[in-house]
Amino acid sequence: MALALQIIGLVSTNAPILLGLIQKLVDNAHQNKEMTDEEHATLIAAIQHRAVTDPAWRPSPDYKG
Amino acid sequence: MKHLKIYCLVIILAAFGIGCASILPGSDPLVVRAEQGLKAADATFNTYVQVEYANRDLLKKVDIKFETVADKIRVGWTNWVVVLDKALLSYKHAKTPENQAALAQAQATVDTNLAAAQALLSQAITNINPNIPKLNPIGN
Repeated sequence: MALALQIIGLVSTNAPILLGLIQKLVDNAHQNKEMTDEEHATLIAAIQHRAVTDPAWRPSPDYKG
Repeated sequence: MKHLKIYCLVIILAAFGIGCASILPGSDPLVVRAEQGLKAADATFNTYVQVEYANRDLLKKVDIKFETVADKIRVGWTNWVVVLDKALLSYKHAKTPENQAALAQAQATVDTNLAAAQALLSQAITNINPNIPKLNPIGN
C-alpha cells in the first residue's frame, strides 16, 4: 500500500516529464521510417532552441570552458 | 533517488523499444536507427541535465563528475548534433562508404558521452547514501 502511494506520488509529481518520455517511446515504436527533411530540421531546431532558452541547459557557474 | 530509478527505467524501455521495432520497407535501417538514436540520445541528455540542474548541490557532494559531465553535454550536444545531422544528411543523399564512415564517427562521439551520462545516472542510483534528502523532481 505504501509503495503504491509512493509510486502514485512520484508519477503525479513528474507526470509531464514521464508523459513526454512515454510519448517518445510510442513515437519511436510507430516511426520506423526515415524522417523527412522537414521533420529533421524541426528536431534539430528544437534541440538548439532548448539549449539557449532552458535554464537547465545553461552551463553551471563553475564551468570554466 | 527514486525519481532517478523511474527516469532510468523509462530510458531503458525507450532504448528497448527502439531496438525491438522493425523497419518499414523502403527505409534504410542505418538512417532510421541513427535518427532514432539521435532522439534517444537527446531524451537521455535532457533527462540528465534536468536531474543535475534540479539537484546540483546534492549531486556535487556525491561526485563532481555529475556537474562536469552535465556541462560537457550542455556545451557539446548542440555541436555534436550538428555534426551528426550533417553526416546523416550526407549519407541519406549519397550512400558512399566515406559518408557511412563519417556517420559512424559522429554516432561514436554521441555514444561515448551517452555512456558517461548513463553510467552517472546508474552511479546515482547505487551510490547515493539513503540518508541524504530525496532528489528534487525535475521540470519544475
